[in-house]
Amino acid sequence: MNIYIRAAQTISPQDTFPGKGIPENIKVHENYLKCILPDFKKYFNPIQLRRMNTLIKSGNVCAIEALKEAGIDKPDAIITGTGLGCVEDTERFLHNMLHTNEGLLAPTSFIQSHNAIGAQIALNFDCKGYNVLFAHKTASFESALLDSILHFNDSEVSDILVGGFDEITLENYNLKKGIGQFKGIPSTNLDIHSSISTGSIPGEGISFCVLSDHPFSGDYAILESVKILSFCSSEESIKEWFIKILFNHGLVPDNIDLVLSGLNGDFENDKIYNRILNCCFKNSGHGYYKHLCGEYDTATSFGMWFACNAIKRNHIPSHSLLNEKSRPLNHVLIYNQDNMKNHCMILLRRPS
Amino acid sequence: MAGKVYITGIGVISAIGKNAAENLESLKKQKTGIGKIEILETKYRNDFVAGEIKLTNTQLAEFLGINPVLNLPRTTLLAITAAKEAILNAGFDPQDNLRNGFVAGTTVGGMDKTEKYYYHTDQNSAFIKSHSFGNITEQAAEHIGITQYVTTLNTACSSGANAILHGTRLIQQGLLDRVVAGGFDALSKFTLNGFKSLFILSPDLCTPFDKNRKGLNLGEGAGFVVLESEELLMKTGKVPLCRLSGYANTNDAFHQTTSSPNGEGAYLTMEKAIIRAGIKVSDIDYINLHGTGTDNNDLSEGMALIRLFGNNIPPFSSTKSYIGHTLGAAGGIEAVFSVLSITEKLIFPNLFFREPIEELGFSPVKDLISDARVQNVLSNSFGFGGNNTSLIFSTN
Repeated sequence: MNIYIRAAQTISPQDTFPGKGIPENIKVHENYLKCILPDFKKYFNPIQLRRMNTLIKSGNVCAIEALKEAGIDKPDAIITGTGLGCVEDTERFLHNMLHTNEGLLAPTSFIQSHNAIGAQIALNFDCKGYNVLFAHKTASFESALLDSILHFNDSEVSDILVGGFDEITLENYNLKKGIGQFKGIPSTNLDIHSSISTGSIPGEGISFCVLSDHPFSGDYAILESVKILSFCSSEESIKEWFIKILFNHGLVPDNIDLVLSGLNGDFENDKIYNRILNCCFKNSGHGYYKHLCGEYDTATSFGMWFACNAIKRNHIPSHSLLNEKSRPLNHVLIYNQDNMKNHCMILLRRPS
Repeated sequence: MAGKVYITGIGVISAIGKNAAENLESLKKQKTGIGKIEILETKYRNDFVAGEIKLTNTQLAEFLGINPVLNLPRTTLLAITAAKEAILNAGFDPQDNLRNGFVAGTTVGGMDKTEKYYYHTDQNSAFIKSHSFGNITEQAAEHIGITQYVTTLNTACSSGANAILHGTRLIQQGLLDRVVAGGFDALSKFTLNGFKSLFILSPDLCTPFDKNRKGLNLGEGAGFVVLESEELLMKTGKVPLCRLSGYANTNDAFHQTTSSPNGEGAYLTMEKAIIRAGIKVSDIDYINLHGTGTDNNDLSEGMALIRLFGNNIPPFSSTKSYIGHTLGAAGGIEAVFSVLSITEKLIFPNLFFREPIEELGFSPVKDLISDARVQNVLSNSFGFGGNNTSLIFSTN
């Protein structure tokens, strides 16, 4: 069975929403990337707006546009991924609790934590079907994608809404900068490619797509494969892993027209991509996308949106290319890893 | 449908015991583990009771042979305890040449350390990395040696059950041979205060499905089952404990924290799970309820029971009266209890029940039923956000 990507929307730190393609001009952000938010008033009344935090609003608006693009009233299932969920509300509840020494607290920020987004979309669309959230660091979105494939194979469903979302707050940025996870020196998203220091450049975003078991004239791509290898520190084994997956799809590395890697500006972490790409996919085009969205647990959901748009227009802006090998984009592979953990691969194919 | 999935091992730690044998003994003796809070540092120690495991983090670490200086989150220690027992019980080496996975559900992750050190990063900053849900699963997976496929789900209080559902499908569809699946959660001030702010915590021992119920008691623990494919069992000749025969996940789509009064989501998920198992409604021998003891849950779940079973509701009980509501761990721990119900031919009673809820007019099991004919157990897990999941465990 083929799974078609029928709609793809992203709210990101770039001018991408709704329905805009990959930007040719990059918006520059200092230190960390925050989203350009849509006008929520177009979608919700003031009472609804007051009840939802920013990430829940963005998640819902992104889902609304994805479903609209797909021409679907209601999905059969909602499967989402997030690394940390609604960080702002978690921080708010934590501060209130600690400041008041467990005083009288309002429940709103407690409720609006992780799984509130998928639940809120289910409420908005009266979607009583399968609904889960994966929260497994940088494999959260791929886990959701993999589960959607399992769900297609296992149930009589035709359309699944799949999304990934994470947010960055100043407080979270400072905490992680303090332990070296993010860069300690002033930087911008343009530094990701040529970084010679450790620590990534963080960002945030919300991406939703509609997967369908039947083709449609406007499909972006076919979701050919999703694989996760949780722990593997041997580059040789990673190469074998790629070759085996591709072989199972009747492909060899040279068939891959573009590999999108998860370069995030952390010099140590990025070395691995360079070595694997140059060895395993030396004849393929190489590209990246985190200079547009920053690093976050579900950044690959933006990566998939990027790949979908690249395939549809058969074009990738030069700012996202890492080599000169431009070929017609029939097979695009998205590869992400986090210091040799959570190796994730998404393989897309141009629909015929 | 794809191949059958069997359960070959169980592991559990809860307020009524640090392994399956101790848990079974307490269930048989009808001994609750809910009581005064002694380990969690909260100012509400005298206001609420909880299903707390009376072992400090140092004791848990020493029990596992882990250096207490590592200061691992309590959730990690609980997860490792139950997962190791499940693997030992199933009798396999996680690093054999098979495709092994580890799938867990949780709702608090490393919050116990975050809330302790949030304003004291100079003392300890490890919480910044260990805070996330996935990190706890990863720590546990590294410790038990499962490397190929590790992931985490969060669907509030049905997280553990959905982890088992995801693991089952991974095996059915031939992606993995074996999955250790379940859930874990430790008590934290964050969740205690969160549930307090919702006014659904009972100051006294919880009384699920009782007319005068006052709310839920929080609990903590971890529960895992080992799922294996039929093909693998045919090769190894291992005799499984029982079979995971049915599952369903639906959304109530009613309210973020309240279940619909007619139990729509609960009804749909139970019905779908029974259809998936290929059995009749009348084949269910025991229902391990979600049964939190809140006004809303028990009435809604009860209405769903009436809608599905009519006048022939099978014996049912909530084991949350022994261990409290263990949130993300609940689906995992209650899966272990469901397996024990089948293997031990026991139906566990609901503790502290006095009078039926007026709108329902029926009662849970009040005394232990031994030598019971238990062929199919239905286990319910419902969560905030309307996330409802039912699992069915059947004899081989």
